[in-house]
Amino acid sequence: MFGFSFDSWADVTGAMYIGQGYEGTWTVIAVVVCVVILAIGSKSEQDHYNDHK
Amino acid sequence: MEEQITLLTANLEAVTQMAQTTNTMFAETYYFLTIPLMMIIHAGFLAYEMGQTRLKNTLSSGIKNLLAFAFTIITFYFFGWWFYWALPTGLTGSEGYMAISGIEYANAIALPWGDSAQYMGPNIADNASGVFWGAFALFAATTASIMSGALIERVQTVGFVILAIVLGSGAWIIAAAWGWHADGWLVTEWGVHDFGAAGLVHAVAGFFALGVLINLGPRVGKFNADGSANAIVGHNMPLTVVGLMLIIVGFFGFLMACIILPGESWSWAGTGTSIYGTRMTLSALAFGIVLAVSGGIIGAWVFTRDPFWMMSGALAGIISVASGLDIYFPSQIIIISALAGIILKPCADFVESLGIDDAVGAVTVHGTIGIFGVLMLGVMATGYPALDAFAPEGTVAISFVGQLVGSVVFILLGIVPGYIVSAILKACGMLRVPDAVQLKGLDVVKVPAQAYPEGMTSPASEDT
Repeated sequence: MFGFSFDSWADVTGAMYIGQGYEGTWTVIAVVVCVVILAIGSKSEQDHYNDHK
Repeated sequence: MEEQITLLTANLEAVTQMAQTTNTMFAETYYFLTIPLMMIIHAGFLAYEMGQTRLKNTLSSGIKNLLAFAFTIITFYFFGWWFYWALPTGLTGSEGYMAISGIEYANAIALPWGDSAQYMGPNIADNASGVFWGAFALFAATTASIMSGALIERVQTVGFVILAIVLGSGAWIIAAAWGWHADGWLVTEWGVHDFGAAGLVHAVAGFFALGVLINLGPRVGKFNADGSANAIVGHNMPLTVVGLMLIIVGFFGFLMACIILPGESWSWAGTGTSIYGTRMTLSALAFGIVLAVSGGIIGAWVFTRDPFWMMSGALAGIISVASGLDIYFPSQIIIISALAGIILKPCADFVESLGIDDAVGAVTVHGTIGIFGVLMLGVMATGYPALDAFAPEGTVAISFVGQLVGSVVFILLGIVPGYIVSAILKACGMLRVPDAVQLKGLDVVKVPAQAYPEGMTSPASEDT
């Protein structure tokens, strides 16, 4: 999970976070999570309305 | 002697380094603290909108606010921040005079993947990107929340979230790129000055809300067959009024975040400046904000004794002078904000007479008064330099025509996407809550909780 190959954080002089080198992958997963949650939320909301029409 | 000079030089370098570190930490802390201050705006919106809602819809109103905030912040990270840096010179995405704009530049600093990710996460050599992003993300969430109140009690939750994303991570940030950026074409070509975002936040949000309201329609029972309107009263006026006051508290954070601090590599000058590089101080804001709040309250009192409209007047007071809070003389602020308060209620009544059900007067408070504020600066500040510390040669000055052009652009950036996206949502059945559900109450249908499970009446005291 660590994108760096170093023995200590002290070697880092710039960006320092877990998963460096795979930022795009994490971002794509985060986008998918948000879209899925929104879709599930929409389905649930429409079901509630349909039950009370 | 030579040794002493060497020692003094070393000491001077050390002191200089420490001073720079202190300045950097101060700047980072300053912008960081604007973020929780702006969170208070959202506490305010939450209280204000839930209070202004009828009892049966209280919690669903609050849920809407929470989700709008969350999705706007996240999407602003995904792509909203990129728009701000990519589009200042226009939709072509070319680089501007200051070389801090254009698609290539935005790709290098504002995308959460690839090389630019170093500026979108922890970086011990970068004390600025995160706090600037955070402040702008809160601007974005605030803009989206401005629309929220107008739509209460009949807008669907997910449909509203989509609208909030389009407004908060799209429409307003494009307005900001054009009119609130050193390379913004509205600034460099027309001299638009909108320091506190009366137009690019408030007017864009207000007119976006108007575009949505046209498709959304009124709440069930708002208008009679003859077109006359019924008052739909919220269930908790104290909550509403306190919420409005919290929004005003949060605006101190919003407005202090509009200053560019000195002494850093990204600073415009050796003093504090506006985002346009024009010199200014926090003291200017201290004079202006509290006087504008006061002027707005007094002005609103002319036509109404209603505390809701008086507090809305306070908000309108700030918005009316926001464009020039950095340069207005305080007495001018009293006059302009009082005038905004005076015209507020008649303007809201006019919107209602058109058959528009704006539940909290957001179209007027933010849209109409926002434009009023942008134009008033054109009247008062014509001839003053629009840019300063980094002005390209031949930069235009502030003018009424420039402010008018800016106003038209801000209105269009609001109402056009608001109308189009809401029309699409309407066609998909995702915009309006069915009338039967409105009549029954949104909370009972879709919220697994009760706002006041023990009712609203306190038992009489037995301690005599």
